[in-house]
Amino acid sequence: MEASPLALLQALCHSEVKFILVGGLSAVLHGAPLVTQDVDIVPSRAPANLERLLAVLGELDAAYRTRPELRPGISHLASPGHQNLVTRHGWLDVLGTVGQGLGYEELISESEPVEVGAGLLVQVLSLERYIALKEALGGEKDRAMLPLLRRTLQEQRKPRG
Amino acid sequence: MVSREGQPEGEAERGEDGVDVTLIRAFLELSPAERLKQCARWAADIRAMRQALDGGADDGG
Repeated sequence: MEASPLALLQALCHSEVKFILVGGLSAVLHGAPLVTQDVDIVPSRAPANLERLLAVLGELDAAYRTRPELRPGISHLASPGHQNLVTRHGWLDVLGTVGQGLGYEELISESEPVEVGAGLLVQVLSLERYIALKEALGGEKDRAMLPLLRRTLQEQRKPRG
Repeated sequence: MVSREGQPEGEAERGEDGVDVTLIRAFLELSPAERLKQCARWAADIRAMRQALDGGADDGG
């Protein structure tokens, strides 16, 4: 399986799934030079959106990474929990909520549309909020990433020309 | 400029936290779409290196 975050994002957008891209890839799009191919999304859990998400997950052959015989259902996607999936375009984590119970509705105002290629606009979590989430998690891996993320934010805020 | 290997040309400036500031500045010069492509190239390079080292194992990440 060749991971292609762009192909995953295209599939989600073309199916008109409402979601916010979070995780390492959101930081990459904001300018943090990280290596990741995992796509982490917080979808709107409105029923119609979950139907669209479920349909596109079916097209992508999405299954649970630790139990590939299992496929996600509407009840899984409607939960605040994390669905760690593998698709034909790579790993996809569908996160009902992140941090202290923050879902799509709470995070939408802290995200912005970013063009990720060929007119494809994806709603991406702000770097500030991503850093705050990492700070709150406090795990070793999360802490290790913080200097790079903070420095990126600092550089991003400097006027360039 | 970020080269094909993802390393900016010239000597890297590092912050007191050890972060490669030159790389960050070079990466910020790219458009978001270009950053995504560069990230994919780095991941492919790492995957190829891992495969060369351990004979093909790939964790998908």
